[in-house]
Amino acid sequence: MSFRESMKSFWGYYSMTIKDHRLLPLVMLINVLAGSTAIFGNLYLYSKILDAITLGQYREAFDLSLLMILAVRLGMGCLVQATEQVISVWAETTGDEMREKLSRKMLDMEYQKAEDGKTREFIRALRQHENRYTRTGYIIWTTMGMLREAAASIYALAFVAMMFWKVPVGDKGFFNSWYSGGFLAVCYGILFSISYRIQKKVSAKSVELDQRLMKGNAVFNYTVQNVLDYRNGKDIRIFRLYSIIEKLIRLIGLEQMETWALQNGKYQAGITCLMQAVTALAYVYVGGKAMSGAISIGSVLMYAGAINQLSTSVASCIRLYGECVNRMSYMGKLKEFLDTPDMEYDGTLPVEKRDDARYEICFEDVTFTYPGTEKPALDHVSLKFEIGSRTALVGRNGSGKTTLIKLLCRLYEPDSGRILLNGIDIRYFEYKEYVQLFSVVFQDFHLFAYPIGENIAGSRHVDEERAWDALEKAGMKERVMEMEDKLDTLLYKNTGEGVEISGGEAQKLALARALYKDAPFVVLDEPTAALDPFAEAEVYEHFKELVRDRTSIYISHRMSSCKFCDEILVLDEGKIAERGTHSELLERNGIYAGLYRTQAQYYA
Amino acid sequence: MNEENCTDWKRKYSIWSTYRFVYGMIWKYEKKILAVGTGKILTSIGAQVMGVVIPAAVIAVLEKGGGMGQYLFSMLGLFLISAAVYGAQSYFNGIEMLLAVFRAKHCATMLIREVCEVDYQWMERKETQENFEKGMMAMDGGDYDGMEGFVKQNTELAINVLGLIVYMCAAVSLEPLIILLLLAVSLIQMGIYSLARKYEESHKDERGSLWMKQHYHETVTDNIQAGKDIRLFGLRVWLLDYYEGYTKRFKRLFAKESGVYFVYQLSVLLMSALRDFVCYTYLLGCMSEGMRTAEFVFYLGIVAGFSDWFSRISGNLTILGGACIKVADFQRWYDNAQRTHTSGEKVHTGKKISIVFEDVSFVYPGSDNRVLDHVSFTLSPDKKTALVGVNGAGKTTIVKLLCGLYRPTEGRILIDGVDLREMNREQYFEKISAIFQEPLILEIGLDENVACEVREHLDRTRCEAAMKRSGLWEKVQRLPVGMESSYGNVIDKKGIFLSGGEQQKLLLARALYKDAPLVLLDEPTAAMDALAEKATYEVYDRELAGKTVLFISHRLASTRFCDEILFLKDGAITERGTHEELLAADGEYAEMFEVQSRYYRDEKEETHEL
Repeated sequence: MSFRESMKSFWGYYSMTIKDHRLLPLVMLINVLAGSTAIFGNLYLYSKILDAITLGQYREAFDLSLLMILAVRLGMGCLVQATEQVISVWAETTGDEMREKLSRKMLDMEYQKAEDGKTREFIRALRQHENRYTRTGYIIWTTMGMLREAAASIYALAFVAMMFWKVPVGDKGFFNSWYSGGFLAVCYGILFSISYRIQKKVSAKSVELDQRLMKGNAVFNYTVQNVLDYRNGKDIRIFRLYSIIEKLIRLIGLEQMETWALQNGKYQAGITCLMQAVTALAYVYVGGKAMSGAISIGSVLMYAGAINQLSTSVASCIRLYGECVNRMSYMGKLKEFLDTPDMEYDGTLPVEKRDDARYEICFEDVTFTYPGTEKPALDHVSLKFEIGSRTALVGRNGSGKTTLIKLLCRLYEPDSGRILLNGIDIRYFEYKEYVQLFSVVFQDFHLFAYPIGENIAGSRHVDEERAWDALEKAGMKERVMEMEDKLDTLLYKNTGEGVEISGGEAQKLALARALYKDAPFVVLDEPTAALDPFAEAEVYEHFKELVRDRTSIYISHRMSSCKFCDEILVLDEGKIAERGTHSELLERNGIYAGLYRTQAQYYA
Repeated sequence: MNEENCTDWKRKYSIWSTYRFVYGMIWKYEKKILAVGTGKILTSIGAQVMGVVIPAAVIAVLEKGGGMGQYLFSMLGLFLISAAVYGAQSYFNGIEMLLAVFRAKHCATMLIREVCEVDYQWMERKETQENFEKGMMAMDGGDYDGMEGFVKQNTELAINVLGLIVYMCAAVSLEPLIILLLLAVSLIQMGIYSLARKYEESHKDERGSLWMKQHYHETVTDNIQAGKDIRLFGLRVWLLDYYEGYTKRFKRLFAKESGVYFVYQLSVLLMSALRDFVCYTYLLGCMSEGMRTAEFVFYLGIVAGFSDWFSRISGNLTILGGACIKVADFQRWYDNAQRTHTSGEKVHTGKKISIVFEDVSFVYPGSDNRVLDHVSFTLSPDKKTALVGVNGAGKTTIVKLLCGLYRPTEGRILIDGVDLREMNREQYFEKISAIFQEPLILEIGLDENVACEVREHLDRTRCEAAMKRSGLWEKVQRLPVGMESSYGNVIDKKGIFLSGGEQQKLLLARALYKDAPLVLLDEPTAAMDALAEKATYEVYDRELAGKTVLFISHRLASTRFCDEILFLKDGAITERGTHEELLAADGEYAEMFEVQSRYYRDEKEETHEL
């Protein structure tokens, strides 16, 4: 990443966070200044104390030490702690805010894009990052670290310059000549370039290992999730899947980690030895200057300390800059993701509210192909849902039934053709408004680990009468009445001690949710698949009541449901192959007749 | 054998037993970790000592004024020693990753193995699950928690304690009052630190539950399946309302906790200022009585380091406390799990199998509700038996009992005359092929999924045959990598997915590959369309001939052709016989069948009723 780009990302990140925390830069600055003043103030005053001692001026030494303790240690120390407190709360908060933004984006995003493989991959990587390596909060700390090292370098440089400036009277000697400084710089240069090269090798290997670890982590998490879910235990035992699981664990790459660990140790030892040479060199040089009388013995530690500080700070500054850049690239990706527009087509028209529920929806030559596939899932489909009609969608698995529903509900956009509501292309309507028209029970519906009443109402505010009414129609009223907290009973165990419900009960709750919404269009996708015959019969019996004068669309494999419907649409390979009433289609002896008779034969 | 009596979730583990457990494991599997730890301890103390000695030595040499040559000579000596010590310290720090490897390789593997082999009924229980979650936390990595944290903190503790002892020896020549002051200040600091930690601990549960809720919310928003309902029912506001609530509470909690730590840090500053003041004054006094500058530097270093050791020790102890508890949780679960490994000795021989349920009842431990009530039936080879009944009647329980995953509370289950309790559980599993409602297809090769064996050991020809017989081969041969294609795309990006129908074919291939005498099918065609369903029945009919088959289904169409139908109601078999017999008996089965078939009768009758 070029310097310019990283600056841009820096700025992007900070403008995102500073918007909500305006004082952050100021607080960070105070912390950095106070911190470095403390370090160097300490060094300076300490050397002055030692000087005073050497000269026997104990009273002065005492005053100086008092100054050091109060002003530097206590004073600067408090400032540093206070600012760090504030920053740590902020750092933690920005992390949470980022995750919230990410979640919001997932909720607002167009469904088709959210479902897309690339997006899912991206989200998974983002979440893994946010939880492990590049947590948003850490960026603040890394930046602070970098600034601290930069400030320390500047201070140290000032001290070193001061040291070079001091020359003794009379015989200069080697250590005070101008070229000795140059000689020192050259030695340092050599030592640093060697250590830099080693460091680079270490970083490269570490990045490689990180990547492999990420994959290993994915495998590990996958294994853990699946193996440790006790429900999978049946298959694991009966089919002796343990040998396979062992193989999966080996994929994590533990042997490589071990080899790397040993290598890493050697590299680290090498780098440390080089650093020790650097320190020794500093002491030699400063000691030489002290022996020539240029500086006092008391200040030897201070100057040696400053030289060492300079070299470590510059090195750390560079290293932290590198880390910052890495984290910035992640932020850049995050920002890009968050900035993408939610919906490609979001109109502004509100949907005309009609009490008589007279909405008519038309498909005009609609084609849709799933990304990554060649064959269209829906192929030039035209149809009209008559107001108040009951339509059954029938067809083999993969014929396009669910795709049609998803297009109808605007979860997908057609590739060509249009869908009209009362004559107007649905893209012109505001998405949120359009969606209000539909009460849907999908085949893979989802209930949430929150109170039952809220699940049915879809909000914190629950109209209890309406909720009970919906539950009764769905056939779940008695079961919920039996529960201690009734409508306030929590579902599942993810957010607390809730109840577990069976698949059939869940399906009834999903039905109740659809009923509560009471929208003009009712779409039911296999709503009785998990119910036993009696419960299923109940639902069928009430079907008329359930939909009343609403326009309803019903998908089911059980041809039995078709009997209730005014029209049956038979889909085959994305096209409408047949349409008509049950008896008409039986007479035709086509696909529908075939499907129906195949099922009916068992019940003859 | 009644494992309920053996399981003890309240057992306490002494600190000593935890140490023995962890270091015992290390000694057994990975001795080099102990070597690394020892090296780290020794070099770290050496490094600390060097840190105090070097400045003092430099000052001492300069004070003596021996000339450049002597100075260079002593500097070289100092450099060589410090390079060795610091270098070694870095080496040992650098290889610390070995701990993470140990954790994953041995501890996690231990845990996973236990989970796979432990008694299923025991594993399913809520208590076991809860304790398992706790034990799992010991698998967390990092410096502060779990097994890894335990070992790291112990090493640090050893360093700090030994360092303290070394420093105390060095400070022996100082005024004892000073030493007392240092000790007093350090102890006060430790006290305040433990108060701060206690505060943090008291909120641990709240933090834990908040985190769980936040995490749940994130999985929900990322879940595309939920995404449909979220959009269609406008659930965004509702869900975000909860999430914002969690974030706010977290922030408040965090701020409060940091506030407490801030107070701690301030008190540390004050304490050290006080200590420094006293020490400087004392040492200056010593100087005026003839101490050398180098000694001044040396003792100041010792004094400063003193409280550092103390505060680090108190940090270690507190963290160790927490880590110990987590490791004990792991130990407890593991010990309890070990005790459930009971199994009989008898094995089943023969290619066919017959099973008799003799007056079997089943009650979940701790509940009064009889899930099964005196159930008796026989499954024989070449016979297809169907089990029907409404949801919750007990069908799945019978399946689990049949598989040997559950044990009957009363009555016996006889496998060709031998009580299942006396049989070798593992060997019995070999006799069963089951297709459950929520089957497990792992992200490995299709061939490995079918054979349930790693690729190196499976029989390719047999695999191919099984896939052909189940009808999956058509799909498989069109794939670029054939039967070695990976399933799913988390581990292998190029992995493939299978539709519902294809998944069923894979599961059938798995059952066929295994060729076990007992076959259990639990609602296998629930998600299929009519034609696929018919085709599947035909395949079953053809391929499962000669085996002992149990079918569970709602769809009375599928069970109609079985040799015997068992109607289960409220845990008891109320009707049994062939389809025709049951229809003639005109009981509940007949009613259920009527309800389902009603819709397939002549439509002329129907239109009247609508």
